[in-house]
Amino acid sequence: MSTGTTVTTTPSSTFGAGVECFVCGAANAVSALQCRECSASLALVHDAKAQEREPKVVSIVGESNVGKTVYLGFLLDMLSQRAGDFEAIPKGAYSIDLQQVVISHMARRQFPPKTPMEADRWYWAYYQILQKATNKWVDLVMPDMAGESLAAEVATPKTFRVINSLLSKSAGTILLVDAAMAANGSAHPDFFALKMISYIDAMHRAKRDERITTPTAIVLCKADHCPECFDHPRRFVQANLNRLWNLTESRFANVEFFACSVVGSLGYAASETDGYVTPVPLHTALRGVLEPFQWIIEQV
Amino acid sequence: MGFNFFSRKRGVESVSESATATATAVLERPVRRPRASAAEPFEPAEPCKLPKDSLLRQVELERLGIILNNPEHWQDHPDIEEVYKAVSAEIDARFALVPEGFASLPLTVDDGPGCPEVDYETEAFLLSRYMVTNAQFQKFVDVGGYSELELWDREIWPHLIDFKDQTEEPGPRFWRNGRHNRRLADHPVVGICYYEAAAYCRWAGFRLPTEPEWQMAASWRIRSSANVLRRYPWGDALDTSKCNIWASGIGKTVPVHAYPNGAAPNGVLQLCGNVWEWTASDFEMTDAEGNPVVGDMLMKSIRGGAFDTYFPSQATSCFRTALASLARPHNVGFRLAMDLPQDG
Repeated sequence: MSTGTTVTTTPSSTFGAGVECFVCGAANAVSALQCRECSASLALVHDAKAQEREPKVVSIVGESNVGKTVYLGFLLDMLSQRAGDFEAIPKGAYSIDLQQVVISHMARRQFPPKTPMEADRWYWAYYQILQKATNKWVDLVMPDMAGESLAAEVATPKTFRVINSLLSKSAGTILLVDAAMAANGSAHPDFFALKMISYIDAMHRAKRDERITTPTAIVLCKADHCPECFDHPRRFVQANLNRLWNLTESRFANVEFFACSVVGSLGYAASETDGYVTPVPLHTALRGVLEPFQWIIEQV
Repeated sequence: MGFNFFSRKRGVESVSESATATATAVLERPVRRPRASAAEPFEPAEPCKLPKDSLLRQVELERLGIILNNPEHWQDHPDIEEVYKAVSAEIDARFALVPEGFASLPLTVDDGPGCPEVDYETEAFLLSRYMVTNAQFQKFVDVGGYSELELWDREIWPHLIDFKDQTEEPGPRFWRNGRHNRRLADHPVVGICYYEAAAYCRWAGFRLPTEPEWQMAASWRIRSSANVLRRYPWGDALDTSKCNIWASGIGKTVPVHAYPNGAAPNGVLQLCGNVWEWTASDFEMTDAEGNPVVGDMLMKSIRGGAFDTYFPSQATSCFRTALASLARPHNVGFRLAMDLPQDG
């Protein structure tokens, strides 16, 4: 069967019957669990080989604490419950770990632990997604990248080679932005998103008059704190994240804006001994989680 | 007057047939329209036409608690007896008796088996079978409920100006020009904060249920030697054909009469799902270490889950959560409660 896959076997002289990391292209021993160069999970490669086709990467990016892990965890769980028009099949048990961690924590009204900076400790999800209306199958790899690692890579490119490789391979990007912070007047979310977008722009090395066509969904997270996001996400970005708005308008040809919230109500528990304040997600109320993903799938 | 609170049948056919046609016609107007969501075209509801007669005006406005609790106010009215019978019949149809019972409220947000609880004994009371609808709340808006200061807690007066709809008119957050979408006339009113719910209750002559009362109604832990409670109003097993939560796959509100098969034993509908319900109680819970869980402002307890509640465990009769008292979200409404009339 002709497959057209780029998942290849490296020369046996190097690593025996080795495998090439599909994220960064480095050659690895066939028995390796993670890529020696970028630390990506090599289980993805083995599963991709079994499927005989290369998966597409959808990257979920955003700064630390914006909610990438929670967003991705709920998205995967919703997909595995056949939300919307989708049917999703996880490839490998490792693909279920992230949603299990997120769901079990949130059901107990705790946020999941922070994603570690080290790429070898990230969760990777590899799913086959069927969009039933179009009978379109897409193989997707969605890593849960740490916000600190993204920030470090954006500040100093090639610090995290895996991020650079993933973003350059991405068939679609979901950029999460803290809408609650932006609505409170903070310029920080705008600046981080601006850096992230300019990093992607620079990575594509497009000419000045060329615009990037990779579908990019800009998702206003924590929108329950500023419900107007749901009414007019585009208008909200224009007003509260104007730097981001201008850059996407100039450089990105295929961008769409969404609003999303997962937590229905947030409480805070302050420790009486050390004063440490822990946010408590009192209940969940999912809104707008699936829509950005749906849009990305329609584009890829 | 004779009440029949345990009847699961709605309507006045089971009660006094001598009620005046006028009052009955005003009260008995079931509004049933196809399901719709806020995303559908907005069709503003017509303004309601009110009779000049003071008593019939209150009937039209559905201020049944006001009429019932203040009979002396209209004692000289020629039709008072008939109207009073009709109102009693309507209270009978719209409210169900919640018998005296118990409610054990978890004290920690980690509310698994064995968590600390506080026990309440609840007295018998009446709870509305249905959530308050957009059409009902429209009447409160139409007669200027938002500017009647005596209906509102004094501490909230400075904030009344913020309780506006999409067009800056007084009203729930998702309305326009002070009108609800008539496609959603029989859906629960949402986009209202705790204070708006409480003001409506006061205006109509009722009150919000307390949190223990709500839990008693949903868990049906009546005073008996069996000491059993229900996880859901209909029993212990989740059944998404009996409620509107995320897993039901609807994704928006449904009319307040939907899911009759999910009723509590006394016929109260939608205690689980569709929209959360404001209660009169302040939220008091701690984390596992005993630190109080607080919000940015006063938190009021909400109960029951909504159409977007992802975890079925958060739409049970015993799950406790809260919301900022000034929040006006798309998934919180309210229902009415009242003490038992003194004459039984």
